[in-house]
Amino acid sequence: MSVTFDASTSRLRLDADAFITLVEYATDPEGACEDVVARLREAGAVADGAPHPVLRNALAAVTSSLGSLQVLVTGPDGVRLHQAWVAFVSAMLTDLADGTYDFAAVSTEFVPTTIGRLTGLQARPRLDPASAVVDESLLDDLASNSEAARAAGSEALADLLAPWPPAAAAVRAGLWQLSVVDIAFPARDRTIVRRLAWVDVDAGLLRVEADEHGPTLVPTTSTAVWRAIVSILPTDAETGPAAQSA
Amino acid sequence: MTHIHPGSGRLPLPRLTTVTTRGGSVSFDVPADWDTIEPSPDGDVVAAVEPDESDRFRTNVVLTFADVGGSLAEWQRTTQRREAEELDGYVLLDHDEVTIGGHLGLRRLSTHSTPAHESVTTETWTTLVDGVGVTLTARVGTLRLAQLAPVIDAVAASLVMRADGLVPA
Repeated sequence: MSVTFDASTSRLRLDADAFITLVEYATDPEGACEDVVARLREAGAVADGAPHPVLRNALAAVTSSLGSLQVLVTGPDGVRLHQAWVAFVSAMLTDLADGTYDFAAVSTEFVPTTIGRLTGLQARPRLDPASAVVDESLLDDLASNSEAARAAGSEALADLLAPWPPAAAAVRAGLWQLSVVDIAFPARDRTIVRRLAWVDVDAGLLRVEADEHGPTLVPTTSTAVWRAIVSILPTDAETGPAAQSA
Repeated sequence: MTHIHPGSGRLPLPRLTTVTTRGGSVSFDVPADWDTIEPSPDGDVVAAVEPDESDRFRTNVVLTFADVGGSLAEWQRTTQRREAEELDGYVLLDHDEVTIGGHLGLRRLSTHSTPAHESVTTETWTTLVDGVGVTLTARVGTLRLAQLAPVIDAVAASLVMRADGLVPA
C-alpha cells in the first residue's frame, strides 16, 4: 500500500499500518517500524526525524485526545468505519473503503459537519408516527462486514418497516443506510459512552432508540438527527478542568 | 447494539420579551437580555442578538420583509441556491413545509462556515403573504445548538403576523 502526502493541502492518504506507525513515530521514533517509517519518509509525511509540521495538530489530537469517536456507515454496498479523536483541534481518519484512509485535522466545531457529510445527512420525507421494536441481531446484520449478512438484514428490515410502506419499498430497492456514531470520553472518575444510531431509507429517517424492551425504530427528521449529533459531543463542563480534577 | 441517549445539556428557557414591527402587525419573542436592532426605519429588517461574551459567535435572530414576485417555492429555490453559492462550506441539512403565523411556509436547516471559520447552524422560516416575503432566520454557533435549540424553537413558535399590516401604507 502506498502513502501519499501533499504538504500544501495537508492531505495525507495512507493505510492502517502506516497510520499506526505514524502515531508511534510521533511519540516514540525509536520504537516505530523502520520499513513503514521509510514509506512515510518517502512520501514526505516524515522528515528530519519528525512528522511533517502540518500534521502536528492532527497527531496531537490522536496522542492527547479528550475522547474517541467512531462513525460507522453501512449499506448494501459495504461498510465504512471512520475514526475521530476529539480535542481542542480534532483529527479525523476517514475510511475510503479501499484499504486506505485520509488523515486530517478538523476544527472541533466542524466535527458535526464532518459527521453530517460522512453519513450523507439530508432532508428526507417525514414518516407517519409509529414505532417498531427491532432485534439487536438485525442491527448487527446491517452493520456486518459480510455482504450476505447485510442482505439478510436488509430483508428483515424491509419486513420490519411494514408500518411505513414507502420506507419498506425503499429498503427492498436497496436504498438503506445505517449510521452509528459512538463516542467515549473520560469525565471525573468514569468514562462516558454515548451512541446515536439512525437508519436512512431514502423515503424517511428512523432513529434507533432504546427502552426497557430493547431497541426501537422511531421516525425522526434530519433536524433532530443534526441536533443529536451536536449533543453527543462532550460539553466543556464534561471535559473542562473542573471535570478532570474532580 | 444498544443506544444510549446523549445528555441534553440544555439550560432552562430564559425570560422572553416580544418584539413588534410593521405597526404591531408582526411580532416575535426573543430572550429579554438580547439586544434588539431595527436598522431600517421602515421595519424591513428587525434583529435581536445575544449579549457579547468573549469571542464566541453571537446567536441572533433576524426578521426580514421583501417584495416577492413569484411563488414561495420559486423564491426559496433562488434563495437557497444563492446561499449555497455564497456561503463557505454550506450544507443543506433539512427542509420541510410548515405553518408560520397561520400561513403556509417553508423551513430550512443548514450549516456553513463564517469568514472567521466558525461553524454556524442556521434555521430559516419563510412565508409569503400578499406578495410580501417574510423570513425569520436564527443563527447559532453549532456546538451551542443543543443548549440553545429550545430558545430557537420558542422564537419560531412565537412569530405572529396580521396580513393587513404587512404591506406598509
